[in-house]
Amino acid sequence: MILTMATETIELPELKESIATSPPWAVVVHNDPVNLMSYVSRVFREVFGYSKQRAEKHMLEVHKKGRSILWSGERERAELYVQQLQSHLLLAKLERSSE
Amino acid sequence: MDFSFSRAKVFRFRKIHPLLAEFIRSIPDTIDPEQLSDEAQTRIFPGVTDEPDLDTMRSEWKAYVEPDLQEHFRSTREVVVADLKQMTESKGLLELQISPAHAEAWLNALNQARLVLAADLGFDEKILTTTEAPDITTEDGSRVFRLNLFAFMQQCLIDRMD
Repeated sequence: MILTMATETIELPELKESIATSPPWAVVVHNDPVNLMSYVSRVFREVFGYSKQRAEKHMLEVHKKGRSILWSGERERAELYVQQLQSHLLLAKLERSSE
Repeated sequence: MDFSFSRAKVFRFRKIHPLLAEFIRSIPDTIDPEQLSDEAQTRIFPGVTDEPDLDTMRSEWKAYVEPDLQEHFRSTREVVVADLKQMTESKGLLELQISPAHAEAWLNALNQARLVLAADLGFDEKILTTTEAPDITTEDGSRVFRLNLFAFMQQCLIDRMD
């Protein structure tokens, strides 16, 4: 018996379209009056591996503007970041990125 | 109460007045998931997104991610409970030691306790930022006092962990 492997290309038009139009996702941290600034900055460094300077820039943005986009990209990773931030009690949410 | 950090990297809160010790011992009850108010529950588990058309994402998050977060907070609380049982007393004052391996759990529990207390104060910025000494004989005054005490402890840990 001879086995042959199919080499045809299967088109998945719906899937292709869904991937093509999927927006990148933004990980947003919102301000709250409770979390210490030093704590927030520390969590940013721990979760994203940001430098102290970059972490503090985002922390100050949260503090002054009420929110900061910490990361944007594909959904699965963005969800993981939100989970990690929430495990540190930060007010983190996922948004469709407009960037 | 004073704070020190030993060569063995052990965090030590020493000479803790019994009243402060009582407040510190209240942390596990404050963050007990069974006792959280609705406001605190909403703040601790804020959900994944506020986008209006993503109900499926929200329900999946509730079903699959929130249990992991609950488990994380439960294990954090257990560490704190165990360390509190080890508090020692000398001449009427108490001492709390936190090993480096437990420091992250303490940071987390202190933060969680502060969020719960603030939620129970309605996140009222005027109350939260007051510089007046709170009246700890009132429920809200006690909450404000504990918020500040736990912030002090958090900052001590962060300063040394960095």
